Amino acid sequence: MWDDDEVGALDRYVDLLNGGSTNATMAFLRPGLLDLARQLKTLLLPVEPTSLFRASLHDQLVAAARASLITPRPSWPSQHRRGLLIGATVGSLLSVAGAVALAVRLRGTPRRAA
Amino acid sequence: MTWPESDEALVELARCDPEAFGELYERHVARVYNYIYYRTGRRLDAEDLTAKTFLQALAHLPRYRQQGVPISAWFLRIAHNLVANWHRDRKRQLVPLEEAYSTSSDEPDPSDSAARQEERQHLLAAIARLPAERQQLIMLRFVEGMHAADIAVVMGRSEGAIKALLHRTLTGLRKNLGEATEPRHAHVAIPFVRR
Repeated sequence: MWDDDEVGALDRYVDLLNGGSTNATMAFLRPGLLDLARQLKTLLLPVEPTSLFRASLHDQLVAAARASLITPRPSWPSQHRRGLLIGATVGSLLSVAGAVALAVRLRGTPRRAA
Repeated sequence: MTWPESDEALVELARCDPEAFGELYERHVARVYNYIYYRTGRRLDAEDLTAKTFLQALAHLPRYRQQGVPISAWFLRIAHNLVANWHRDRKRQLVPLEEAYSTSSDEPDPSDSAARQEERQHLLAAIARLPAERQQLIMLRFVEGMHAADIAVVMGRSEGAIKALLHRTLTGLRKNLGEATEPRHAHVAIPFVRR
């Protein structure tokens, strides 16, 4: 199908525009799409953050990273968490089983005549 | 200090070394800022959301698992969510890219001809009329230079869906630009702008 070929060709062509090395087959691309892709790459220029902002955020992040290492958040290691989950599940199942067994036993006990 | 070249190794270091996280930030801040800037159109908001993106990444780093996807995709995913919240909270319409772009280049390139400026404005105005999702795709693919596979991670879609969406977006954009401009585009060789 023309469109399927064109979808792939367009993707490869944009990779090529972005500096990738690809064997883009432009034969599948309509000239209008090819030119539009080239225009977009040419006209939409990257914007740089100011150096002041960049440096200030760097310092802020490093300080935050340092603080988070000094006071680590309490967290369970994954193997402990798994153990806890299994324990809680087994405990719950045992409780339910116990309740069911008690109910069955009470139902099966003959009532004394008054 | 010499940092490892690969981001994967740097991420592992960053889990226990604050300076390594600083290096990770340095490698990706321009891309994240650029993405947010084109989605918000304002320098101050771009700075604010860029800071939030990296602070959030730092907070979630202990739980981050590398799964063969570039770390930049993870940063951009966080940025994407923050930008979405920013738009929702303020109930703002997406700032037209035309407006965003007009403030993005501090000094106009002297080699720019009037015809070229006009061509640029025409194209940016057409992009500004696209749905937000398609604007986002154009930013990631052309400004950030990302591959379809990485964009798929950021936008939560399959790689094939991203390729198809790009094709539909450009086909629609071309139609919007109108037949009148097409012969001009087809024959004018566009020189690359100096960066």
